[in-house]
Amino acid sequence: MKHAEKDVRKRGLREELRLTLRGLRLSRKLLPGFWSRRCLLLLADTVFPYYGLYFSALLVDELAGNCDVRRLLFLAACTVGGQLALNFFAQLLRRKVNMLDFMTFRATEMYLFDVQNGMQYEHLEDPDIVLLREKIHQQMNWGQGVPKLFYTLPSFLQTILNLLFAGSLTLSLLFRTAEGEFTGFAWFVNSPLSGLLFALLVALSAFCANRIAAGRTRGLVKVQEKRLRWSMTSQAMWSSISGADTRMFGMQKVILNALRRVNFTESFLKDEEKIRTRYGVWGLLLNTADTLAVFLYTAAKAFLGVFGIGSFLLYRGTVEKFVANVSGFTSCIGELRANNDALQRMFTFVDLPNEMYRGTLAVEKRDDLDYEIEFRDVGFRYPRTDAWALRHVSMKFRIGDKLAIVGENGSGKTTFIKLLCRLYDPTEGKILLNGIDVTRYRPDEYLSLFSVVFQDFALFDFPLGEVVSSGVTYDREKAADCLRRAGMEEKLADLEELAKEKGTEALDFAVGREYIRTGTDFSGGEKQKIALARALYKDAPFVILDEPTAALDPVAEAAVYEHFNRIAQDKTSVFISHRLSSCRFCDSIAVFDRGNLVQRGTHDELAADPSGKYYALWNAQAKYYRKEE
Amino acid sequence: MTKKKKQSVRKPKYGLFSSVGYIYRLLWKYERTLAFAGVFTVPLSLALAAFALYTPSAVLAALEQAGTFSPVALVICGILLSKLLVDLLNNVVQQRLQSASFRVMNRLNYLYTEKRMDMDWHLHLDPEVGRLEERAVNTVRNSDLAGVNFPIIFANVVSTVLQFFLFGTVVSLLNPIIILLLAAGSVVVTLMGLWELKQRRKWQDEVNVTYRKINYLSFTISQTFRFAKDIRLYQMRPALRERSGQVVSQQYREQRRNSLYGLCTAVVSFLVAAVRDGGAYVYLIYRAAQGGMDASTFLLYFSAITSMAGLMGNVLNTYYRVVDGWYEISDFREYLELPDESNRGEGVPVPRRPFSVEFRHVSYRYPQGEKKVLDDVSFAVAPGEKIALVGINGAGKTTLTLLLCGFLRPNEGEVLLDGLPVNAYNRDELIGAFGLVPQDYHLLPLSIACNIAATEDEGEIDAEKLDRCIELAGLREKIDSLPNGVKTSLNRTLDPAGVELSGGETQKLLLARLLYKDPPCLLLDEPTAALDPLAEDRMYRRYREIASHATSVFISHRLASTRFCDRILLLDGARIAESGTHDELMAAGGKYRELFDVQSKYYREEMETDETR
Repeated sequence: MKHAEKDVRKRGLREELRLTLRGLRLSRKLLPGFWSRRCLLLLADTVFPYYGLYFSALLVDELAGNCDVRRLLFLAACTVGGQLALNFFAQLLRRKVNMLDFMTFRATEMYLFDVQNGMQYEHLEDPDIVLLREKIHQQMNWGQGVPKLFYTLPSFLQTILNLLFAGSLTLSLLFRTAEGEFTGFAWFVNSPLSGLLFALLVALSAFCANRIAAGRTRGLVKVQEKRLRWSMTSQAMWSSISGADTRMFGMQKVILNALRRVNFTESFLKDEEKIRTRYGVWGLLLNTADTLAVFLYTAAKAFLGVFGIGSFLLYRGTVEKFVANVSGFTSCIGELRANNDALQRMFTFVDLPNEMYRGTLAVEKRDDLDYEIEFRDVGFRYPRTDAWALRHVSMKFRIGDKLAIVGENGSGKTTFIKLLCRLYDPTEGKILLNGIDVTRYRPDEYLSLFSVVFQDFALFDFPLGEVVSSGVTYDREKAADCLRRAGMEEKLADLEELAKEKGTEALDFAVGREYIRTGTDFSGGEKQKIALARALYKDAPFVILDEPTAALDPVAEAAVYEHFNRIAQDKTSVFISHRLSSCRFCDSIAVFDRGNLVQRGTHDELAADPSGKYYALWNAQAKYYRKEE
Repeated sequence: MTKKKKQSVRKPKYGLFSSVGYIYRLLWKYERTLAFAGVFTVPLSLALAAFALYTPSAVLAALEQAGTFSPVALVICGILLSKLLVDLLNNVVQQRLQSASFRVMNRLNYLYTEKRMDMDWHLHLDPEVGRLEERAVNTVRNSDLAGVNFPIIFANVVSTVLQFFLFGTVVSLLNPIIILLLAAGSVVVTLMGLWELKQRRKWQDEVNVTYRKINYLSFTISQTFRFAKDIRLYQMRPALRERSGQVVSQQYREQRRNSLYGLCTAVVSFLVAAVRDGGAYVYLIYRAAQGGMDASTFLLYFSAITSMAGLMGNVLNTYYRVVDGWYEISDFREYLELPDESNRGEGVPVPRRPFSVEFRHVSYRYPQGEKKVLDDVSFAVAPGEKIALVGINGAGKTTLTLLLCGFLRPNEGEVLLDGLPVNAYNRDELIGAFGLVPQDYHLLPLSIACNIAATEDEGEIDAEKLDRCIELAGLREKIDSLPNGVKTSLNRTLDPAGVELSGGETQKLLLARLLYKDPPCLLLDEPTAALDPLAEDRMYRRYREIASHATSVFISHRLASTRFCDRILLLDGARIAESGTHDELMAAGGKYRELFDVQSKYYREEMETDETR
């Protein structure tokens, strides 16, 4: 995994700050209203303990001193009443903050989903980027990245507030001295020198706390990275767990083995436990040293009579708090820096350049749909491969043309489609729309020209109508109409009947059951029809169908050919099909072989050339239908 | 979705004791350290509580009495260093326990996955099972599962009771009535908490529904790039964004409702605390005013009273967690112990040779299906016979194959294999007798060879057989073009040298996988849909060889395939409408002829034009 490391670079202080701030800005965008409430809550949480400390110190002082009952009762009432009010106020804030907090993980995941949806397609087929995405997901699962900011930043701010509060009192203590002559140890305690020594100790402790926090986080992340590969393998298998073929070929064993490796490999758990225990011990040692120093120092001062015995509690509490917050401050910095590794990875992903978005031209909206597309000596190699998937392809087609593309598996047909709808840009040569290089158009404008059914089309498990319309709100009439035109008439009628029983509507049945438990399973052929309906709904000037009838029965197949012929009258359509009968509806046929365009012509022309590829393909299939024995 | 419907509180299937027993059995089996957590945690937490109670007042007392500073320093060092020892021990124990509960959570996750892949396949289709599964997932995904921590919780109860005595003795020195008052306060808070729990539980299933959606959006589809092309071409980004927003705000609303109950409980508990502290102050001040109470004693008593209250809150919290854990564990167990309907015990030996298949009056309707997919279907297939199964989309062809191999179970009638009903055979042994080329396929992120042999152990693979299958499936050319041959991975993320197969190549791979298994009964569901005409032709010509010693069912919309089968069955209107050879059915002039004519029209038209030319 050599490329695993390059997504985390060394960073200077400025860069660290920039990353954290950018993460903060993002988190504000993801959960608006969170930070203002969080800060208020923080303030409440910070003031609250001092309130208690302060009044109970007054109480004890009063008890040790005058012991005036009225004053004591007054102080008690202040303590209890104030605490009640503060608690109530804090709880109101906390409720809201907790609710928002609950959403952080999902909100961030959905943000990333949105980012990847706007990303240049090519990136998503790049193994390095897929791996990066996987790592980002992994680190999120372990609470790193943006979700961590929601926890760490508030405690960071809190330590700062605490430092301000406790700092002033502590400082005054450091240099506060008792009246009188002291010698030896007592002199030292009473002189500012002891304060200086104490301050030095605090600084040392802060340094250690920082190292401990950063070390712990990084150590745990390292263990996670070691198992990354295995957890990715296990995750890649997850989609297979309900498959019928998974059962039939006994693949459960493999899936369970992978899961066992991730979950039960002893060394991982042991390593993790070791790291947690080790840094836990360091933390405790540091903590005890701190407490010890604070206790001794404040007790010594109290002993000398610098302040009253009642105030001893207040001072000890405050100084302990101060020291704890100095360590907290530095360990937050340590955690934030370690967390910046995760943020850096995420922003690397977010910032991936989108080369497609260089174009600025709007596509001319033409009522006569007079578009012309030309491939000019186009060649294409998939990234990281040496072989040409397509080479020297030149062709032109005008609006209204019906083009069929045929060829063996792997001859470059699907690649041609991918270039045509700009999922990739050509490695060499140009594609022109109305004489202008397509890279000069805005990609969203350009994409709106195409209705495509890919061979490996994917349908979401959303309600049927929303799948057909690719939207959340849609024209129900039109969606139902498109489904009927795609050959779903009968099925739709059945669904409507069922819907009546259940008091819902046919278009609200989900496709599959992953999104909504009570969804409907559609057969392979039906899904293909849904995909066709989706293409019809989009109603774009170019209709591209890559194996649209592979799963359709002969009747539905014929209907699609004839139907598309009808609806595509004024549209340009490109058919890829292994059922060559479809070619008969097309004005021209392009035959691909090993990445080259080898033949172009009408069916009659090509079928008459026995030396050509088309002749072989056609006859391999047609012979079964021709003779009646 | 009827949202306003009144939600009722459900009872867990298993009782509290039964659930506790269940989790202890699990712990005993997998994680004994956790089962005995209490032995370590009780003394440690007691010791820590004692330190917290006595440290400030001890130091204060030392300060008040000391003539020199050394005894004060000695007291401070003594207390803190011994506390350090307890802390260190506690740290080790806590980390140990955390790892242990991690392991148990992982184990639950594993058991859940195992069950999901082990239970009868048809149960996945049952929405009621789906609901149970959602609940089980709710248990498994809860990283702070109370049930797993039962031992720790129970240990907490013990240590809380003991701490009660610790603080209780201090307080009852003062006045035993205080304890009663404290208890009364806690009862109020507890009742409030129970009410909250009940309210939350009411909405659990609805929350699960939203969770399923959120999970689908933020995990299932965002973790794969399978949808990337469609998202781009249909410009779904804004719609997906809108949908995520809707689902998130739905979840937010549910959260808000739940947290409102929490707010009520919190407010009540604050009021109780205020009354408690106020009362304690008044009483202590009254005692102090009477004399006989110095500052350090006042402090000791006051912190004892508040600690007592804290402990009662603790007991309450424990109660919540126990109830939570009880529901979760019961749900988990209910799913895990869901009974199968098939024969999981002893079965008749499964035939290794081609066997006969018979459907007797079989009817089937999918759970929630709108109508019967098969209605009173009867037919028989002789051993070794090659059947072509045709029909329009949605006619029930795939369903029929799934019924045939026992993956689905008929509502009426029965399926006989080799003359015996499906249930006569052990389910898992029976699966060994079938091979399938599915439409909806699943491959492993492993090498091509491993996928064909359906194993992860390359050493297990019979290289010669593998070669033969690759050859027969027509995958040879592709394999030879790969630098790593059959060792090439199918996952490009895990292995940068991996390869993504095209639709046609994948279909050849699926065929090779079937051939490698070499079962006595083959089910081929559209095995040529993505093949080019030349590959399709090759497959037909080799079909006799492929299915040479097996009973086979070949589903295809390319009717040319029927020529290579012994008999054609045509499904129409949920029944076997026609049965016979190609010539017989063509002569009969029924639905089959209609289908064949539709398909061959364009091929034959050419003949006609050729002829007319």
